[in-house]
This record gives sequence, structure tokens and C-alpha cells, in this order.
Amino acid sequence: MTSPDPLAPSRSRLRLLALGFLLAFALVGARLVQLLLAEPAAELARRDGAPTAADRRADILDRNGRVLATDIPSVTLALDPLYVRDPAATARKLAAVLEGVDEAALARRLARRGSRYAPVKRHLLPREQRAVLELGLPGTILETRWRRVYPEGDLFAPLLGAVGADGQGLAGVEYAFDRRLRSRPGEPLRLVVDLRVQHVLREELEAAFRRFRAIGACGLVLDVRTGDLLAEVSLPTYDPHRFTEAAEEVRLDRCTGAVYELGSVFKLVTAAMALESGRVGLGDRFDARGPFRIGRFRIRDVHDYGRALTVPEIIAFSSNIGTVQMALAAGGAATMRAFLTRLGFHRPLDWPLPERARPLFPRRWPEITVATVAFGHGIAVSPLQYAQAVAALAGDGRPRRLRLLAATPVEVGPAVVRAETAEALRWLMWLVVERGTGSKAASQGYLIGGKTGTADKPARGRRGYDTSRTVSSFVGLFPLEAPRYLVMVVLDEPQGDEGTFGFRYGGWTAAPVVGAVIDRIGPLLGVPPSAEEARQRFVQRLWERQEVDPASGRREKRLAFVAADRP
Amino acid sequence: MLRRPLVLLVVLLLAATAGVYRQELRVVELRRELADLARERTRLEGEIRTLRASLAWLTRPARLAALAPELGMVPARAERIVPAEAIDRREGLEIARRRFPVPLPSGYVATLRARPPLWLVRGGGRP
Repeated sequence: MTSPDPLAPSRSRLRLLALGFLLAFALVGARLVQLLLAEPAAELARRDGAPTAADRRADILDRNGRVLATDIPSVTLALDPLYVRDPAATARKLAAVLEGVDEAALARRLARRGSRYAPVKRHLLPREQRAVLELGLPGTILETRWRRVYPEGDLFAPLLGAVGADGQGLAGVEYAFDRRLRSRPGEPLRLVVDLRVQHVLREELEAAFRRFRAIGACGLVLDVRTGDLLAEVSLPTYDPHRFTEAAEEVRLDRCTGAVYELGSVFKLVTAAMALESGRVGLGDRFDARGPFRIGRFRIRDVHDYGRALTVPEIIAFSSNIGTVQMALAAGGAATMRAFLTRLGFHRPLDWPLPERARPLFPRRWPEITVATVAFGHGIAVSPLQYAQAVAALAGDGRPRRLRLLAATPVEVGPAVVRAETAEALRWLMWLVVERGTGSKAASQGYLIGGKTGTADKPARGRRGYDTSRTVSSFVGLFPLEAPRYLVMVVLDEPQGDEGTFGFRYGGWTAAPVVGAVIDRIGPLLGVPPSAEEARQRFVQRLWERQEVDPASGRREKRLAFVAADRP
Repeated sequence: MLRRPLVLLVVLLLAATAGVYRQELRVVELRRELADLARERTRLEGEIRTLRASLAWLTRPARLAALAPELGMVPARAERIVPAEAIDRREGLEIARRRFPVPLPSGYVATLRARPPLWLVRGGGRP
């Protein structure tokens, strides 16, 4: 019988000890690996409370690289109440060096026990920051955070929108592209808007907005060939740095987020539809003696012409009766509904921003609806949606998808009218400015075509329209011989003044704005002036004569289209 | 017999612990240094961004339009825009490439380029 090994207990203890050492070595090794894979410095800096590039939003630039929105560091001051012995004295000292700090409210916040954080002021100026540091107050917390700033102030609101206190997009581009702006802070978001054009449009529109005491205004400039929105102004507007203080109606983007019955500017659409149908030609005449009856409704013109008007006269003088007859002659409800649907008036605008109103498109199409829609009542669309349609109708007949981001490719849709119809429409638009209601939009340097509009607004609380409140507008295209840009202005409830003899028609209020904008942005955009030969090509197709009306004794313009191939 | 390896193991463990401690100290220093650099980079980036925002604010169209008349500038008119192909005698435009120092009312000396005379731009001979 063998005796038990006397060293056995020692061996097992040694094995246990060796295991302990192994574990210790493994721990040391793991720690070494952990230290070798140390956290990146940016993460450390973030833990320190300092802002990093990843925390900010991407810049927003205009088409020429001008900064429209950017983030800059901003210092916020707070105090830890635990370290504040005399809240009243501390509040007094801080209120003396910081602008806009309510001393009593601050003292109350500092006296609140249990709290370790009492905010004092955001966005400290450098001198305020220095003054606070010089005070040497215990418990001072200075935090640096990114702050969104808009160097152009309210120039691009509400297109750009604004951000909230935590840097989240609340409206406009800031809201629509929030994720993009946050996820790629190093890549600026370039828009197709042009700062220079925006400035001109804002200046001219604001002058008219104030002069005619309108309650609202919209102006926009569109590149007809690419669909680029070069400028968009909506008034009244807000300071994007104080977005939350702005009232709801001030935040409204009147170019995309509001719909209007635009009135006579819509006659361009009716004219294009009639010409495209092939049932109406530029040489046709329609009886414009009023009133024109449809069932129990009567349609009138501002002046009763008392005679048949040619199609050019109907558009140049903006005859409601003539336009209605054109629409009915073109095929009535079926033709009009199909044409407007082709232009996309039945659905909301294809636009990336949240400020996008749904058009009011008629559900039923009795004859009276065809008649009112023909002269821009009974259908309400946003100015941008209307501008997009006119750019296609008077351009090359093919609609462009509206572009806001420079990275979006130019998209051209299928033709909505033939090239000949677009050319005829341009001639009619030229006639409106040359001989018709839009003469105040005429430019010294460029051939401009356009159409005026003055629409009564729907009455409040009853059926029908309120003739005391109107929407006046003008849509202009230039240079007409090779259309490149469209400018549209809408004034909501303008009031006439001495300079307009009390008139608030679009021809008196909105047309001069468009003319002034074109005169200023044309050279900026490098558009050479229209040649005299180009103007002559338009003039050659015009037959005109001054006649005295035997009934009224009034001198009247007679206008007609002369075919180019006619000797 | 077992004491020697045991002592060796203890010494090794102590040496490794000292090594780790030193490395940890070094890592802490490096992390602090990197954090300082990251903060400095953020500060400089912030300064650059602030300067860019200031530049945008100072060169905003409304301000430039107000200052332009003081420098004798007027808005461009349509007739000043000429298609490139309409310009004759381009060699005559060499003068436009020269730069001239021009003292401004503020005392700042701006470097400006000459504007070619209209008779050169429109073609034809010297008036």
C-alpha cells in the first residue's frame, strides 16, 4: 500500500496560484489592448463639453457660393446655484455687465436650491464674456455651442426657414433637408437661388408692398430653361434668428404655401389652351358685347367694348367675355379640365419644401365653372405653380421640374403645347406690354412679354366675391425673343394711391415692379439688351389702327394679328 | 524548488504592472494633448466660420448698394452688356488686364483694373 504524496496539497495550491497569476496577466494584457485602442481625441473634446465639427449643421450657399446660413460658435453663460452665496448680489453684478438680463428673475433662479444649473444668457458677445470672467464669480459655467446664423438676415426667409434652440430644422430648407444638413456638416448645401437677384426682387417688391399698403406680397424669378428658382420673396416676413416669435401669417410662404385665385393672368393659360386646341386662331374674333349670360350668371368686362374683339385684343385688353368665349369655342369643360390636368394644376406642386399648398381645383365642371376658370376665378393655385406652367407654355412648350438644389438634375417633361402655340403666346404677351394693360412693365433694354391680373377675393362669411379686396399680379417673361427668365409679382389687397389714380389693378401696381426688377437683374445675369430687329419681328405681325367709336366718341385702339407670311 | 519560479513570476508581474502604468500615463498625456489639439482646431474652425459669416454680412448686397455711390459706382444698364462675339479688336482690350493702385476716400489703396473705352468694345475707330 503506497503512502499518499505529501506534496499533493502544495501542488494544488501552486496550480491555484499559477491560475491567479494567469488571470492577472490576462487582465494586464486586456488593459494594454484597451489603452492602445484609445478613444479618438474628438470624442474626448466632446466629453469636455466643447463643440465639434460633427455637432454643427452644413452651410447653405447660393448658386455662386455666397453663404446664406452657417454655424458659428456661441457662448452660453450659466451658474451653479450651489456655489452662489448671495443670489441678489450675483444677479446685480451680472445684470450690470450683460444686456437684456432680468435681474430679479435671475436672482430667483439662483436662489432655487436643489438645482445645479441656472441659465443666465445665451449667445454672449465677446466683451460680455470678458466682463463675466473678470467678475470671477464662483460656479460660473461658460458653454460653447454652435449657433445658426443667417448673414443676410430675413432676405431669404421663409425659403431657408429656421432652426430651433437645439439646432433642429423648423421650416423651409432647414426643415426639409434637416437630416442631410446634420449628417454631412462638412458638405455645404448649394441652392440655385441667386443672392443678387433675391436682393433686387426684395427691394422692389418691398417698396410696392409698402407703397400700396398690401397685406401680403409674393415675388419670384424663374429660369425658364432649367426650372431654377433664382429668387423668391414673400412679405411680410420674419427674422430667422427669432423664428418662434413670428406670427403664423408672417411665417407663411405666399409663393408656395398659399393659393390665390389669380384672375386675368390665368387668361394666358386659356389662350394657350384655345390656340393648342386648333379650334381658335390668332385671327379669330369673338363678340365681346356684355353682359355675357350663362344660366343665371352674368359675366362683364371692366369696360364694355360693345363690339367683337380679335383674340389679340381679348388678351391685350384683358376681356373676360372674350376669354370665356375662347374657352367655350376650344371645347369647353373636357378640353379645359384635360389641359389644366396636363399642367399639373390638379395636384400640389412638386416642391421639396414643406410650405406647399394644395391647389383648389374644381370638382365639377358645369359651363359656369369653365367660364370663371377661363379668367382665373374658381381655381386657386400657388404663384410658383402658376409661374412654372407659364414658363412651359411660353418657353418651348415643355415644363421643367422646379429646381431648388444645385445638385438636382434638370428635368424636362413632355410637351404640353406645340412650339407654334408657345410662339403665339409670346406674341400675345408682348402685345399686352406693348399696347395693352401691361404697358407699365415695359423695359428700356429688353423685350418683355407679360399679363396683368386683378382678381376679387372670395367674400368672408358669404358666397360670392368681395370687390373691395383684390389680388393684383403680373407675370413677365424676358428677353422675349429668346425667353430666359420669368418674373412674377403678386400683391395681396393693394390699395391704390395718387400715383395710380386710385387704381389697384395689376397693370398699375404689380407690372411696374416686374419692369423694374427686369431692368436691374438683366445686366446682373449678363443678358444682352434686345436688338431692334428682334422687336421688329414682333411689330411686323401687328396690325393696328386708331378709330373713333361713333357711339361714345372715344378713340379706340384696334389690334389684329398679321400672319408672318402675309405680304 | 518552486520558490524561484514563483519569485520570477512576481517580479515579472510587477514589471508588467509598472510598464502598463507608464503606458497609461503616456496615453493619458497623449489623449490630453489630442483633446487640446481638437479643441484648438474647433476654436480655429469657429473663428474661420465667424470671419466668413462676418464677410458675408459686410458684403451683403444691401450694404454694398449703399456704399457704391461713394465710390462713384452706378447700377449696370442693359446696354452695357455686349455678347462676346460682338466685341471687335479684342487685342485692344489688353488694357483691361492692367492693374492700377487707386487710393480710396477711406485711405485704403485698392487695386483696380481699367475699364476698356466704349469705342474699343463697340468696334470702329478712336473718336
